Amino acid sequence: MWRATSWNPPYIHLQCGCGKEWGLEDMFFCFPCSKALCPYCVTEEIDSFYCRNCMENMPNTEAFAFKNKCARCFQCPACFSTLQILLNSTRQQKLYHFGCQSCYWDSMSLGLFGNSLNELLMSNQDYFMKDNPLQDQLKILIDTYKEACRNRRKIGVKYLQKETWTFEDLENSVQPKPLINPVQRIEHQSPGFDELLNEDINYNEITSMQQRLSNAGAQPRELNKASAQPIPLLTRRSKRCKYCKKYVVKPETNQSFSNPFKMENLLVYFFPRIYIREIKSNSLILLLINPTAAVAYIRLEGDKVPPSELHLDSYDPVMDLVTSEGSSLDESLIIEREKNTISIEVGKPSNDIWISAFWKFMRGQDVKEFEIKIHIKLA
Amino acid sequence: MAEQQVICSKNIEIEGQIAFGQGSVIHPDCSIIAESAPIVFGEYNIIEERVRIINRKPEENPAPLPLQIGSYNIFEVGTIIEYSEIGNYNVFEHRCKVEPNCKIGNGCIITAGVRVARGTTIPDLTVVYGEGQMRKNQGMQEDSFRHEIKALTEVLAKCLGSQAIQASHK
Repeated sequence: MWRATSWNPPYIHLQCGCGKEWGLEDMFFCFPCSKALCPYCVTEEIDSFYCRNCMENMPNTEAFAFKNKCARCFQCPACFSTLQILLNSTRQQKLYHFGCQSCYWDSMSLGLFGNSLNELLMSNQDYFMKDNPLQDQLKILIDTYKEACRNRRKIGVKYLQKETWTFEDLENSVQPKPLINPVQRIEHQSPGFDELLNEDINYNEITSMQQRLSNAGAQPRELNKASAQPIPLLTRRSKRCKYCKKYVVKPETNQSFSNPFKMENLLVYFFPRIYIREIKSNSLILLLINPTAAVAYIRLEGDKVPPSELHLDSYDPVMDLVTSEGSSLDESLIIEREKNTISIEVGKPSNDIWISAFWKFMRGQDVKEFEIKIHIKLA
Repeated sequence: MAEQQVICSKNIEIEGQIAFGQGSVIHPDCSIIAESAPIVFGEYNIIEERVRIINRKPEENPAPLPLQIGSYNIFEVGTIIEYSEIGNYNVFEHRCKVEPNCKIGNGCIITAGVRVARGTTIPDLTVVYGEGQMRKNQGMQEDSFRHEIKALTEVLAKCLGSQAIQASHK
């Protein structure tokens, strides 16, 4: 899974309830459960699709019809940047064609051009029209397995007693009816090792693996046969808490709002950012920054950690306003306090430090409280 | 822009023996350093901001030779060129880097941010892109390219509004 934070020490990670370690920026916060959630503890669902170039929204059905590709925008087969439509005009005629402004790839040599914009787009439309050559065979396979599945549900009990269910069992269950013709093996002489070594290849003209896979229909060996590809769509996803099924992140589908999210409960907005300010021989100084809009409290527990509840003031950078609560009881533990940050000193028993933090903050009228484990790794 | 002129902007770092052909335009903040041997430019070269063209000292360049650059080349912002043979009608896009002892033909395009490795030979009419992959440049037309550059130098000569010096050769 993609992470925003690094594994290179020194780092400060938080431990989710499921036991995995993540950076603060990777995690979410669920308000009904009062829980910090890692990306494995949220379920994702796709709300809508959009094109990264024209930013147009597409509903699921339309995206499926276009094979999850944008119908109007194309990418370069060589360097994957967005193609532009260029006009090559002479006295006799005007020719529209695709061109890459980054690597100067041109569609003229492929014969991909048109006298008008519509003609150009239509000449590249057969990508969407073209069916997979193996589609019929695949359809028979899918139907067979569907029927086998139905049969299994009917006779059920006999097979359900088996704990592991393999494709061989499935095939045995439908053995009497040979629906599929077995595929014929094609005799193919593979080239020898010396032959491959001595082959005269210009590697600049051979497609790379990425280029070949982006052109999945044709999979050309030579780069000059690769054609312009529609841009794959990106997704807007909403995320739900795994435990209470409530939304944690919900994107805005209506484009007229400037805010891209309806709900965005990231942990960065509710839990203090912690930085290492100084590493001493047997202790280290941590810097805590309160991101919330009200005074919040933190209690740290661990080996050689001051066992006291400390308060963090809030700071509004727009109004330049500090909301303070005076001084806490153990103000002496705090090395420095400025606006919404405090610096504290904690012991360094080893290079692996585990501290549990009890964090209490205000949200509207509610007081939220949760516990999270902080892992500091120095080397 | 009159015949036999070179447009030179302010704040240029010039060191050693350098010869410009007529119609060259040098933008501000670029450095052309001939430490070991002279640098010879052809006609109508456009050298944009923060370009570094260096002919290094003998200890790094064991056999110092004059750095010969042909005519009608564009060096866009942030290009670094070290000792190599450069032909005519080339475009060096933003922040590309040509390492020592390369041979660059005519009508080549080195695209933005590309590093051309030491000792590479780039044949005529080639686009270098990505991680040094090369491809044939199909759309290169020398005549129109020459006209475009001449028109561009005319415009730049008016816009830059700086001193004009006599070209050292034609």
